[in-house]
Amino acid sequence: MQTGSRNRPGEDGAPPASATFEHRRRRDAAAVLPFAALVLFVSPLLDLMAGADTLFGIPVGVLYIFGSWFALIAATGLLARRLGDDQER
Amino acid sequence: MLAWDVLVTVCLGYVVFLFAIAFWADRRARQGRFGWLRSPYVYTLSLSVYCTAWTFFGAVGTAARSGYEFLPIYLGPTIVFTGWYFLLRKLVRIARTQRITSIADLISSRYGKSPVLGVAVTLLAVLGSTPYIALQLKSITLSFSVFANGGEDAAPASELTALYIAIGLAIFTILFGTRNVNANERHHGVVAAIAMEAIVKLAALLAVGIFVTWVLFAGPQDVFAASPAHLAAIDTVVTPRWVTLTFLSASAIVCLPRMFQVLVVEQTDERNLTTAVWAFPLYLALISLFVLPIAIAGLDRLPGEDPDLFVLTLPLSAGANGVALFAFLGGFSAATSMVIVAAIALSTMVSNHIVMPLWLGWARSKGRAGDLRAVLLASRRLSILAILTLGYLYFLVAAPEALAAIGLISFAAMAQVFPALVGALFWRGATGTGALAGIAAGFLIWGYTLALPSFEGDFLLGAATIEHGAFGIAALRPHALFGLEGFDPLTHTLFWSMLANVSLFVGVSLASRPQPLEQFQAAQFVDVFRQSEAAPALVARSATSEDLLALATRILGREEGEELFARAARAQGKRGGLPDPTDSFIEHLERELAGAVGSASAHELVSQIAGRGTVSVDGLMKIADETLQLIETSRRLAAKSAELEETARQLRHANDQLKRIDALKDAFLSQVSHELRTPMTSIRAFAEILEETPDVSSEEARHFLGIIREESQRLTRLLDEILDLSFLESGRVTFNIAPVRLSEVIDRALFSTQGLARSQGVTIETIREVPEIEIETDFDRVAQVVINLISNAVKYGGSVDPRITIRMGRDADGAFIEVADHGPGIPPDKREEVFEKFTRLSEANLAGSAGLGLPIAREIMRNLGGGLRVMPNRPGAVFRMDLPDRPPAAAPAPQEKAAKDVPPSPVNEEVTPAHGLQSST
Repeated sequence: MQTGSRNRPGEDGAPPASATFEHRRRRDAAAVLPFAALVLFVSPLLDLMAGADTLFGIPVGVLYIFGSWFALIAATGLLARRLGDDQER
Repeated sequence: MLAWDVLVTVCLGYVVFLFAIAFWADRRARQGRFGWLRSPYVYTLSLSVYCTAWTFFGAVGTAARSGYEFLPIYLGPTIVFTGWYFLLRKLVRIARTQRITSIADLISSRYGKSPVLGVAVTLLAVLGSTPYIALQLKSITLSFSVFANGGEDAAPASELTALYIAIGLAIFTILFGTRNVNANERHHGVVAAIAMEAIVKLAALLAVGIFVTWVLFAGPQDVFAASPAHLAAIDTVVTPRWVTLTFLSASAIVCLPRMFQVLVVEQTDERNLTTAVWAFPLYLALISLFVLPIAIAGLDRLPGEDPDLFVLTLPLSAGANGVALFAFLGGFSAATSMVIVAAIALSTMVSNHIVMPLWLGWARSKGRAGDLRAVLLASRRLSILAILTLGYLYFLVAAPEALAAIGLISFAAMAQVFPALVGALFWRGATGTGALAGIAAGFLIWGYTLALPSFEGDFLLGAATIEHGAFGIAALRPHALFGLEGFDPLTHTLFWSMLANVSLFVGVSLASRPQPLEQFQAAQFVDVFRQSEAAPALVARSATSEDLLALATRILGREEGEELFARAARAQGKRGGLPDPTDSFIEHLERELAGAVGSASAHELVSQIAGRGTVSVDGLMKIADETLQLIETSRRLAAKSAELEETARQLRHANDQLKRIDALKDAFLSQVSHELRTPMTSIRAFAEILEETPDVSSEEARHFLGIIREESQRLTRLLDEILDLSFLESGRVTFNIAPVRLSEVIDRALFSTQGLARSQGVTIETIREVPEIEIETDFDRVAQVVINLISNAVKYGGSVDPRITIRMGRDADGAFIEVADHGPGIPPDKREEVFEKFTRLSEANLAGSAGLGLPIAREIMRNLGGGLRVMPNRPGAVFRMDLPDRPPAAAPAPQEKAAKDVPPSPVNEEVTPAHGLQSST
């Protein structure tokens, strides 16, 4: 029950007692995301990365921005799916 | 080089294709075959109206000039979408429950369905968006001219091209954007066409990017190696302008009328959001992926050319006509989809918040109540025409250079709504006055420092004013307000406008007091996830169902109106007919109408019929703030537990009663058997003597037989009394009711008891009231009671002062007869006990009494509607009979009492609380 609830709570019938806790954890993670995005895109961190350096011939700034961007998209997508499942119940 | 007529043919073909898609999707939707039309991916693609021609062409231009600066326009929305769970989800839920039709409607609805706020936001949106529409027209004509320049054929003037396009867009929008009167239903045809265009523009930009990177250059490394110096070495990316752009685009993604339209108003299913939140940022990331390479390539290969057109000119110059044509269609798609959705959104706002109130006022003054549906659709169509005409006129008038800045100026206008929007969702204390003050101040600063100076002295503000400030006051220079210098105009404007906007919004909100309707709406918005679907009605209003139906059909049309009422009637549990005009139904109807005409107009219309009403208690509870709600909840819990405690107490009491009754029943049965046994024993004993003794003298035998007869008589009397009592207790006795004089009753009783009294040496005195008291009752039964009381008094009155006083009279409690002796009296704690069966106060057991006299007497009096009580000793025992003027009309229901399996008992009456308890739980 405990291990089952870690991945997909409620799959084995009634939501386990920790479902609320899991949901809250995901919600907290979802709350962190926009701040993470702010730090990645609107902070001196970006200045640090957007120098003249290149990696494999591509500016590090470009790699950094698009890398962070796709990572955020993936994180948002994963959390949204889980939070959407929570809502379904 | 591409031939002009080929371009026009492809373009027309594309337009026909879009019309066909829209038409087909619309037909599918009307047949109820939604399928992919409701897919989250179509929803996501429809969101791409965010990417207009300005971003399609302009992003490359911006990148060519300032490197990364094109990115905040896409990063802002990404940040908002990562926080979707807190902002977008709430927004979408509120819009669905409140039937929101536009951003103006949302603000108006939240702040007390305020018509003024609706007008304010609408004006702001029209002012901000019209130039933006002009920009789209401009970009299309510009891209046409790129092809025309190279071709030999003479292309028509750009004014004419723009006119054709504006007309085509108007036809499309009116055809597919004003199908249904319900503004918050999805326009499936439009959405399908936009989704198609979204695919085309993304694919086009990717195609150009791939072509540039791998055909013109040898991969990304090659492109970036060609970076000009001003792009290769950027030290500071995060400048104030960067922050400003991020904030502007973040607010634009929800505040722009067209974004609100596709994101909130037209969404069909809240679950679509969970896909769109990652898919839309992905779309944005993909569309910006090749912006930098294209810009670098353009600067490298086409120096001196307009960077805004690199997307077209790069493939054209390389002779890749197919790619160029594709890019052209991409730009065309970006421009047209923006104009279509913006026109729909703006026309809804204009007709709901400006035309409708004016029309209603006019129709009211003329006393007309025509078909509002036709008016609504006509006003939407005319608004679309008017908005596109305005855009076209702006395109003709404005200087071409001024157009470039328009995108951000438009964003900055709608950003003024952002604080009020956030307040609407998260702050219950935000008031309409505060929102209006904030928006107005922000709008003024926006106009003075950004919009008007963008005309460079041609409109309202002269060049001198822009340079030196109004009236030559340096502190009022539009680009350096209060001496704030060193920022670009956009950052400067945003700083001052937001400062004024937010401080006024917060300050005035804190200082002003919201109306009840406003507080109610605030609760509905801020606590939307905590509200049940059926919110209580705020105001108690009254109207007839017929009037309401007439109103609904005027707005929604006959079919839809009747359908709505039939559904409501079913929800109220009715088989057919009209629903009851309850407060909650009126509120529900108002919300449904708000989906067509906006909340302010709907409120006005319903109020015209049902009146303004008074605020209901439930409504007040709703608007009470959270703490009060908590207090109320805990108060209810406390009341509930007190109620439970009371119930438990009553149950315990009932249980005690039942136990007592049970004990009494046992005692009664053993008493009865004991009482029956005594005479039976002596009867049997004497009968045995007579039988077994052969030589009984006849005298002895007569004596024994006399005893047997006496005991049998006693036995019969006892059984009679028990029977009598049980009949009396179950109310099955019939009385002979007739006018009775009390003194005659006493006379009869005295006559019957004179023998007994004389034998005991008791004197009886009577005190009679004059005049004679006459009541309706049963003469014999009342006399029986008096006789019983007299004989009791004789028995227990003692022998010291054997005197009995009978008094009759009438006092506050009514007519009465009192029988008092001068004996030792009854101790206070035994006063109720005397009415219990077989109770004798002393062991002195006089023949002829089975101890049932008093219980019978009391039952008789009860049955006659009166009572028998023991009064305080004076000093002897005093019994008082209360006699009503006439017996109660309805005798106690016999069946009910008879059905009860409880033995006759004086506590019968006390058990009834248990009954009351059952019905209350």
